[in-house]
Amino acid sequence: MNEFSIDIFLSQMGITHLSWGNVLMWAIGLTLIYLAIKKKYEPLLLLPIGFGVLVVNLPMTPLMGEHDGVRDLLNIFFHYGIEWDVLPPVIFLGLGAMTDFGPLIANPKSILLGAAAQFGVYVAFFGALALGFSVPEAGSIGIIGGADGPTSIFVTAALAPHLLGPIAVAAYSYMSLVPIIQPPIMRLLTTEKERQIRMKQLRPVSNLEKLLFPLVSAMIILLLVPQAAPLVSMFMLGNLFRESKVVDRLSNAAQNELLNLATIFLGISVGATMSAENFLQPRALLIFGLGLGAFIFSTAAGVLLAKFMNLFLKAKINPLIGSAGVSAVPMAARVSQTVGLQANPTNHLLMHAMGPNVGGVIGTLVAAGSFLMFAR
Amino acid sequence: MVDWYRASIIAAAGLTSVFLVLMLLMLSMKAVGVVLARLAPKKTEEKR
Repeated sequence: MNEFSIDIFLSQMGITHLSWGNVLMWAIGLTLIYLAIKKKYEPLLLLPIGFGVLVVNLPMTPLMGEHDGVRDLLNIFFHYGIEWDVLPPVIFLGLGAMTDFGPLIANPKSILLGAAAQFGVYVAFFGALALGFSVPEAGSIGIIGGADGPTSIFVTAALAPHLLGPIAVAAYSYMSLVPIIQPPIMRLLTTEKERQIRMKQLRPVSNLEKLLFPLVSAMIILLLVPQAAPLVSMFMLGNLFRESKVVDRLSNAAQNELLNLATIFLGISVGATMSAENFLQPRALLIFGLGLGAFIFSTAAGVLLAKFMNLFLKAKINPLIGSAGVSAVPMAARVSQTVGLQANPTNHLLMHAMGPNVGGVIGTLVAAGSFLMFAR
Repeated sequence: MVDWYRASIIAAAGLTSVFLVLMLLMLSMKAVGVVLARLAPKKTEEKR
C-alpha cells in the first residue's frame, strides 16, 4: 500500500516526467532571457517569451492544457489573446499612438522603399514552399521578412498556428539583430560616394496633413485589402488619437498601459506555445534560416530600389535609407543613421529613414492582408 | 506536391497589392500636400 502511494506521489511530480527535450528548451528559454537582460535584444518581448518557454517545459505544470473543459492559465491568455486575434491589434493601437508619420508625409516617395523591402517576404515564401511547407505555412514564414513581430503573430495565428513559437521567436530575434544583419549588406550594395549623399532637409508638415493621413490611408488600404482591417484600423485609430490632440488620455493609455499589458500577455503566450514537442523539430531550424534570408533580401531590395530611383531623381536620395524599409521601427532607421554617419560624420539620415521605416510597417500590413486573402 | 501556379498567383497578387496600395498612399499624400499648399498663400493674401 505504502509503495503504491509513493508511486502515485512520484508520478505527480514533474521531475519524474522530465525529458531531454525539456532540458534543451530550458536552455533556449534561459538563452532568450539572457539575450533580453544582458544584450538588451528586444527585452520587452524576449523576456516574457523566454520565461514562458521555461515554465511550459516544466513537466506536469497546468499552464497550457485543459482540464475538465477548463483551460489552464496561459492557455486562456493564448486562446483569447492570440487565437481570437485580440493582442496584435491592441499592440498596433499603441504603435499607432507612438508613430509620427511626419517624415513620410514630408517625403511621400520614400514610402516606395517600404514597398520594396517587402520583397524578402516573397523570397522566403517561395523558399519555404521549396522546402516542403504548405502555402499557409509559407505565407506565415514569409512575413518574418517584414520585420514586424505582431504582424507575424497575427498572420501565423490565422494561417499556421502550430508554427507560432518558432516564427515569433525568429521575427523578434532578427528584429533585434537588425544592427548586425543590415550594415554589411548596405555596405556591399552601395559605394562610398552614395553613402555620403546628403539629402535636403524635410519640409515642415502641417497638423492637418498629419490628421488626414490616418483617415485617408485607412480608407485606401482597407478598400483594397480588407483582410488587413484588424491591424490597420487599430494602427490608424491609435495615430488618430495622437494627431487629433484632443484625446491625450486615450493616446497615452494606448501607448503606455495598454501596449505594456498587451506585450506582457503576448510574450508569455507565445513562449508558452514552445513546448519541446512543438519546437524541437528540424522545421524550426528551417524557419530560422528562411527568416534570416527574408531579412537579407528585404534589406537588399530597399537599398537597390533607392539606387534605381536615383537614376530618375534630381534630388538624390541616400540609398542607405532604403534598408529602413524593413519595418523594425525605429531600429532600422537608426542603422541607416549609423552607417551614414560612418561615411560622413555630419550627415544625419535618421529623419529621412523614418519615412521608409513607417512605410515599411504599412507595406508589411498590406502583405499580411494579402496572404490572409489568398493563402488560407 | 507544391502548387507552384497557386503560389505564384498569391505572390504576384501580394506584391502588386503592396506596391499599388503604397503608391496610392504616396499620391494621396502628394495631393493633400499640393492642395494645402495652394490654400495657404490665399490665406496670407487675405490677411494682407
